[in-house]
Amino acid sequence: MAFMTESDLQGQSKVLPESRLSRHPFLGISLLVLLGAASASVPPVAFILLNAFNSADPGEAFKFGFSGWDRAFNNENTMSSIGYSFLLNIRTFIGIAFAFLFSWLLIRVRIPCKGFIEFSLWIAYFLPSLPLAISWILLLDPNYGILNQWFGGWGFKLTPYSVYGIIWVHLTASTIPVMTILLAPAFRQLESSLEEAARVCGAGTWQTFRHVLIPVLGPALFTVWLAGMIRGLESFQVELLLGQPIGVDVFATRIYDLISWEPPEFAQAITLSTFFLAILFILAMLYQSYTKDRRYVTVSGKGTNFRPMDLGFMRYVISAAMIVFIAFAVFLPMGALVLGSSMRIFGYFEISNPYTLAHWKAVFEDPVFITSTWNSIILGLSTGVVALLVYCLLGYALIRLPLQGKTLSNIFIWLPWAVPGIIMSLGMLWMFLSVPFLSPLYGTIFSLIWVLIIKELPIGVHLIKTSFTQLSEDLEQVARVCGSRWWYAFRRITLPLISPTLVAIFVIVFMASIRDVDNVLLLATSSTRPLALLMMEYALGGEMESASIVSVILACFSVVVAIFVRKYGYRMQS
Amino acid sequence: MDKTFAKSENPLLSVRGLNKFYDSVQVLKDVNFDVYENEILVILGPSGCGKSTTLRVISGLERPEAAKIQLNGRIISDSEKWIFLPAEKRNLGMVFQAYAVWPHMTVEEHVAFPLIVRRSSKADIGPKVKHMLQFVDLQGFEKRNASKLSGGQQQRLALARALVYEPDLLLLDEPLSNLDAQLRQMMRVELKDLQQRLGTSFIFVTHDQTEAMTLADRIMLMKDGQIQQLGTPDELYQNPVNQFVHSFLGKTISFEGQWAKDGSHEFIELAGGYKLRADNGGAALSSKAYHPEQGAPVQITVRPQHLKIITEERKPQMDEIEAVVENVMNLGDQYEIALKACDKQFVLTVSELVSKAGDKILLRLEAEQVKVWLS
Repeated sequence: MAFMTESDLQGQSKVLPESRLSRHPFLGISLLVLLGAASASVPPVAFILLNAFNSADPGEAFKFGFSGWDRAFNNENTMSSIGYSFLLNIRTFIGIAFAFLFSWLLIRVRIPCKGFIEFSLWIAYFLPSLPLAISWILLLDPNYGILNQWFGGWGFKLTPYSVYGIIWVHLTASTIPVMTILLAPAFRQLESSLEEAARVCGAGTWQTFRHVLIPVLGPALFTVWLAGMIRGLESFQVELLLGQPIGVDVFATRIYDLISWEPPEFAQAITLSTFFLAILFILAMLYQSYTKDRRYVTVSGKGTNFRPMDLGFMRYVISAAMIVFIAFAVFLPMGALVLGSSMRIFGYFEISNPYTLAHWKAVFEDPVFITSTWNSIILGLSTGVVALLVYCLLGYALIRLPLQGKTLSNIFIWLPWAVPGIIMSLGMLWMFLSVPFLSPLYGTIFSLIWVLIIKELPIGVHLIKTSFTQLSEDLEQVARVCGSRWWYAFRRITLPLISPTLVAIFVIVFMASIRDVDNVLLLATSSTRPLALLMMEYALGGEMESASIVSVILACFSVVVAIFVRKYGYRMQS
Repeated sequence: MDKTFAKSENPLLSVRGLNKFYDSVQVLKDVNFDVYENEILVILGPSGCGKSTTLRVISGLERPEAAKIQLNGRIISDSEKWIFLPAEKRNLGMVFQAYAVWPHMTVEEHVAFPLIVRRSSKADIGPKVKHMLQFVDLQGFEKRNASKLSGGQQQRLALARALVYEPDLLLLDEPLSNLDAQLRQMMRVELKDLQQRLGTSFIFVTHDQTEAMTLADRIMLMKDGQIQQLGTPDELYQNPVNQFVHSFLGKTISFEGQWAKDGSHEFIELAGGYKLRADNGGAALSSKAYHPEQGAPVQITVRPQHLKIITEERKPQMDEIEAVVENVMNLGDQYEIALKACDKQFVLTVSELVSKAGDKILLRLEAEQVKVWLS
């Protein structure tokens, strides 16, 4: 105390009551965080919106005009792609209904084989959709599909090349599993007595759903549905493979086409993207107004009283039904894929010696495959490492430091969540092509790393923030009171405690990077092409055997990751 | 206050041979009991004793491995005949510990809900809801969102919701434990009053012995999934069947000793050589079935109010023990003195301070109030 001057003391007494001044030292960091968050997510979207009324190509001088809108709305194919986008997204409604039922059964009802069902859903969650589309071709192709050959005599033939085929592949491969996994935590948070009270009052299962569960879970259902809708709008590979042969284009495949033309039709692509961003904006507004007075689901649930229901014998029936669904949705196509990868000619069982490992040998000797594998591994690892660093800094700053403008930073961080991958890819492409000092990055792996870090920003920062929130600040502070410096305390106390989350984020980012097609589609070149893109090119080029081999490899990755996730406890059952 | 039960009549609810497992753990072991018209049966016991599970089995929210349960002469659960009526078909009312009010409904909607799912007519619902809200003193809150009510109001709302359809039996699962102490006391009185006005039977689950003693017509005390004793509060308090019952209802102090004989007199020799009369008018064996041999180890339990401090300085006589005052704490209008006697430490509350720490005092045990248990 002796070395504290009087003015110091006066200064303190001034600072204490007015806490704004004490925040002053963080103003710089606040701006840095804000800028960091904004610079990550805003540019691609800004480039789309700014150029919606630009008739010039990237790199050329801005030329105001409506030519893009004009051409888009007068183009029959573009208009029909908008129509099909909506038609195919009917699946989100079917998906949310199934997801509601599935997560209710998995969380609230005591059923046998729950662990296995959950695990299978996780596999489906991590599995890219394209391999499943390929395997459904093998199973249902009108000419050589295995199921059609077996059951063809019964008078009906199914085909994956159809609107219902595309919807089926999406529902089973991603919509239902992903929505179930996203919805499950909301069910877990809900106290079981809310449901039980309705039961004892005399309400049956359907009445309990209608009057209690659906309204209470409304905001969560809306969130998950919206997530499904956005993912649905960006989905691309299945439509390309199953839709284009019958002339079904969706918004994402249409943009891909427009950009792949020589010369590319940038104006129409940008217009189409703006149109869908506007629709998403309207949905976001609806979401805002819907959840405004219904915030109870996020705050409810002390999680104290939680007992799953006992349905007696019915539980075996339910469990069996779910396992049959999963067998059909996940394991049948996975099996078909392995079969297809080892066939002399994809789908032809009648020829002598139909099975061979020759394609495996050929693929492993293909230099393109080897380059792509390396690209994927480098992309996955480096995106994982850089993303961890970026997310950690942002998450730590947002939770632990008294920053200004946190709300705005959070909006920027969540923005990429709402932008379909193809739009993200287009925005980034435009940015690289039109900003001179960024153009050297185009065609390098850095551009892919960049877009993937942006894409996973929302979920990554969210997980870090949750982890820091759960970790009492006292733990860190007590170490500092004991005499350790900030960095030492962070390294010895905080880091080990949040390391499970860090591992989880790394795995999520790694897997996303390996399987991503939508975001990197317009940015990858032949020298930076990752495996997932190679798989798509094989499939589109009719090399189905090679496509299934890459699919099997990617599927193996998914299974390993699902096992990992399960082992480390990121399960539905907390 | 005193209600007489026509026990010869058919009981309202009868539970026979109730067994329940969670995975391989048996949480209820052959539980049998009846509930009669117009009574409050309190199921009391420490946490994990199976009291809530018993209630949930009756409500139909849990499925027992074995049980035959009859309500109003109707079989609602019979494991042998594969009968299990789901909760919504039992016409029971239930109040949950955390109220379980639905956050998206108003007070009025809550109370109307059971009537709507029963497809009552609109003309019927309105007056019933109004009457019920009056009954639990929530009139004026009709349009209020249920989650905006205070804890006590939410609990009254939960009661209204459970009573509006006139259930055969009301089940209450620790309904007061989320309220603060003062409110809890008030609600206890309100509940008792409510039951008397309604005449509906209650099964009330709690771990709080004061709640049980004040509310119950009969108490069913449970431990480890088994009924320890079932009877009126007085029966359990005065004539406990085992040491657990004795110590669970009210405070007890226990000492070790052995059964001894001196000619025709029987007594108990406590650690330290003190003697306690055990023949006529003295400490009574709780189990008459087996008479201990000389030297058999026994335990005695006694309530603190049956220990009298003797200030006189003399050698301890029959029924008296010597104790050392270890500490004295001032509670304002009372004192707590921490004592050690016969190798046991315990605390007595006295209104007048007669000794200080380090003193030796004499304690007189009222031998006829002492319970003796074979160890």
